[in-house]
Amino acid sequence: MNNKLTRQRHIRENFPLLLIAFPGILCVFLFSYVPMFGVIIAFKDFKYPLGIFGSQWVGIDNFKFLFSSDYIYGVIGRTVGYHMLFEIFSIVCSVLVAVLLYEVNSKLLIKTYQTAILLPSFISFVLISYIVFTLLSHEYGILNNVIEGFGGEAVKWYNEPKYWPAILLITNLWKGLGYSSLLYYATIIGIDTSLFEAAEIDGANKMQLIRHITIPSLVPIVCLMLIMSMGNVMSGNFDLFYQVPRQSAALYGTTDIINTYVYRMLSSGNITTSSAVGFFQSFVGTIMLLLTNTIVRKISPENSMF
Amino acid sequence: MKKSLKRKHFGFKAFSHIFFVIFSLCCVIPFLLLISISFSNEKDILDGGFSLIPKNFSLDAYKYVLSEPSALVDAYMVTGFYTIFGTIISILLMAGVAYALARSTFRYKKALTVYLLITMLFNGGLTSSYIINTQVYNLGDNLLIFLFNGATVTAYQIFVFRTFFKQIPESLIESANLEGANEWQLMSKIVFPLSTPVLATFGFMGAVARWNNVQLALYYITDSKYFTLQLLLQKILNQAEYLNQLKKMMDISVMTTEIIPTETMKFAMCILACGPMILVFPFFQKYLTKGMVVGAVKG
Repeated sequence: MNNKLTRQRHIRENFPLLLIAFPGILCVFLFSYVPMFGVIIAFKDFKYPLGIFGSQWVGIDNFKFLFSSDYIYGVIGRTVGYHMLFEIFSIVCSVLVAVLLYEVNSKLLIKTYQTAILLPSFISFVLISYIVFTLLSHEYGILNNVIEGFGGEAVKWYNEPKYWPAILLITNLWKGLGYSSLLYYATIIGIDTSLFEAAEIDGANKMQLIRHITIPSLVPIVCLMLIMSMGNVMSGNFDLFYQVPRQSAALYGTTDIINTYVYRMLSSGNITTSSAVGFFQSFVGTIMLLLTNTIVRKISPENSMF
Repeated sequence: MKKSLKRKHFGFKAFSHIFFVIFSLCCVIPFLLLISISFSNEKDILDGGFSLIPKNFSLDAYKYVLSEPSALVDAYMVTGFYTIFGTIISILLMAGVAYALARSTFRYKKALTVYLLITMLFNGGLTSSYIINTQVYNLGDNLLIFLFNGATVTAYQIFVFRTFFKQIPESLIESANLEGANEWQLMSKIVFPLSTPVLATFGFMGAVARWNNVQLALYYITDSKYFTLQLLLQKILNQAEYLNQLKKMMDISVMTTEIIPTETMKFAMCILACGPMILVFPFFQKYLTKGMVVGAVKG
């Protein structure tokens, strides 16, 4: 009785605050919590007219069916493989860009270079797909023009899977490098300059300064970024893989990742496959997040989620 | 002593300048390429392919596209609605939750934090969200999807906001409270105005993300009336049927030559849709870099 009264009093006292937070809390409930329960679709034979609750339970049949085809293993492998490839290249190149940018002394030039290299991170993947198209178009593309200019034979880029890992890697680097190098650049700026001065007086050359001062100072943040990125290993970049290859069916074998596969199954009405893959993705994603978070909490508590 | 050091580093400095000049050109030239193609003569492209410098300057593509600009105007309206109102609503909702979390008198801090943390760990995925949004909430082909969707309220940003709100001295809020200000006034008259930098930074980043977002419209919009600019551009580049449909509405008589500028038209559309954003970018760049630093302080 007493307990109930205090609880009522607490609610009354906090009522204005609850009211202010309520719209946001409701939004989270509707768009995050309800879909969490919606994953039961993966265990049902979903039919639009029957709805989520009306559709029949089928247990893990959807998953049995899904994992009986070879294609899905390729999709999962590519999602993870591309993620790691992008991550490693992105970190190495961003560190390189940051180290070189630190060598630029003029404030004006730093600003100019940064504006230019940040431009791609500011535009949409649709625009990027236009740019890639101007380079790779079979009939009018610049690259084919150059190849033909040297007497080579025009390549049908959008039908040739073998080039696409490189094309996607370059596109991804081009778009993200300006932004991802900012973090490392900020870390380098934070290094105590007296360290560099002392080393110079002792006769260290530039390469030695970079090797023995700059790089070691970047190691902790690089490790942290690598570990944290493992938490997203299952969440591929839909826009990159959907827009840039222009949904060319000939390229599915090299460009199809979980996100694009889920979307394609969903838009073609194959809800059971789509929801089963999606569930698998969310499930593994959560485990990876929990794992990486446990590691991050040990080495750098201020960067951990909880 | 100093001079000799400088000379010793000259080679490395020169290398970094050369690197950045080349890298910067690689980042800027593709945009010039898009602009140049949009001003090219269609015939030159059919004969010689795309090129960085137009052989013959031509405005045909623009005249043709602008002869029937309704698709473009509609897309601008939808994108503007999404960018402006979507961002404002999102920031207000998140700031509201963050404000409650930051107040020392709020009793449900722990429960609410856990409630939000759970959403960072688990998610229903695309299929589940799609079925629920379209079948239960009826948001398919509905403008409301641009205001309320999974990205409207994110736990991460709430936590960043909370950290900033907490930095406001408690005494300031207490004294206003004693003078009779209620929670609503405390929030709107003291906490929000003092946090304008972080709200503006995230507002700007959210606006850019929404302007560039193509997924949301791709998933939920099939009616061409509600296409965003990005979706419109995507359909023009990749779907011949959609392009033909658009071409039928346009007026061929505005052109100087009789060839329908199919290729250059795509790029004219592209420039008309994305040009304004690229032009304003350098002026807002500082918010982008600031947002990165702000985002790093979570606490």
